[in-house]
Amino acid sequence: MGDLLAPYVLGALDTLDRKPVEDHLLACAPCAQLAREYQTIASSLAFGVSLIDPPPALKEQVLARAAALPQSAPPRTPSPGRWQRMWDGMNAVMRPRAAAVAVAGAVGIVALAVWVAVLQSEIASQRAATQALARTLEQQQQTLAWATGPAVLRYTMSGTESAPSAWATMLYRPTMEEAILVAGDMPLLPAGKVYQLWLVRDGQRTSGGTFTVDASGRGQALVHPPLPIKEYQSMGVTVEPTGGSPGPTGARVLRGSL
Amino acid sequence: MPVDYTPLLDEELAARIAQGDREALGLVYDRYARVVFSISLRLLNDRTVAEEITQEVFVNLWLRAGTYHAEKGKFSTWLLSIAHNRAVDHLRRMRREGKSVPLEGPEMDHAATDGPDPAQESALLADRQVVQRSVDQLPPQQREVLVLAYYRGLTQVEIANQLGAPLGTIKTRMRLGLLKLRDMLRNLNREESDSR
Repeated sequence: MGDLLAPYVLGALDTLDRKPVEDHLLACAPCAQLAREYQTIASSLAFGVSLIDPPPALKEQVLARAAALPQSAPPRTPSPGRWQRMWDGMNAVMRPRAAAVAVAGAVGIVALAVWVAVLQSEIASQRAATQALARTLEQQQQTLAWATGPAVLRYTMSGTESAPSAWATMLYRPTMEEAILVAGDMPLLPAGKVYQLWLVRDGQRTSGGTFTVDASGRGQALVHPPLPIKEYQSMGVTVEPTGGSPGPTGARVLRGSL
Repeated sequence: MPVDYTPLLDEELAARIAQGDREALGLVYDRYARVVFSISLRLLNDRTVAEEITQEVFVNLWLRAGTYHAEKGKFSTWLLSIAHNRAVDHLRRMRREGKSVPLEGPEMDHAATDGPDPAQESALLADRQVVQRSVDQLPPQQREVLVLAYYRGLTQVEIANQLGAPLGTIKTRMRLGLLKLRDMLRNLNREESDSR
């Protein structure tokens, strides 16, 4: 069973093989310990992928679903009878004073809540700006890490007659079978359009993914070619509808050899 | 008085989630959603499916946080192994059903309006560079099987067929690759800490 632990933590067992391993791990403490050690190493591979943001709305969807699926743990709230018992214990002189204090407190709490809301809005705005800057910096660091990393192959593309000043560089890391495409001086895209990368092998075009560009005409895309890059002879970029096309339909703006 | 959850460890947040604390769930989401989404996208190359898997992973965390036991390992290991398994299962289901490779590739220029704070971003970037450097430095045959298994979602049998090597050899390369990776991660993390 020991020789199945590495394939198990890497997700390389099919469903039929996985179940006996899981059953064994429930009964065998030494194997379970070894599997945990292997699992820690395997999971670190998840941090090796280039990070992509999920859509911002996804978090709200997760939290909304969680709210609709309440857990069985009891909520931790103070006993509701305590305040009633205090009120009951006050005499006729104390009660109006206590009520006045309560009203003043309530007004104060409302004012405080408004102030906190304003502050939170300002903090959120500052945070969004900081995150945008951090993201830009991260993209630049990521590109730099690719450019300076070991065993990286570099390919270039130049603009066609429809975008003569456009350019792109693709850095391919064979060890991870992953590439980053950095494009610049690209024409701005109309709404509903994206750029799509095509990898050409024996005349067949395979999509390498879609990307957009910012206001300065710069864009980046991660590329995971279905085959090692050496299997392709050339590449190109065309303008396509959002979501991409099965084959190139729009104007070609970049081309290059592989 | 609201509790500041930011300094809490993952394991403490998991305990709070098990008690029905949605704020803790939100913070764990902020810490790990990008990694969960990215590994799903790496395997499936489909944003919509990667979103579904990310959502499933965190809803599942909400429902099953009580089954996590800190003495059995790090929370991140537990969460990421669940995420990887789900993505791999989905990928194999797609292959069985003969579904073609999706057109849509990942984009890096997707602007997020919310997410981890900049310090966390830097930490993730450092982690990524350490892992990528470690993978780059693995012996090619060991690296090949780890990449095909973890990032491509192939089974050990599929890998053996693709490489034309005996199954036993593939298993050995996987085991040795993991052990080598562990040593490299330790060394590089030590170098990183020394240089700070």
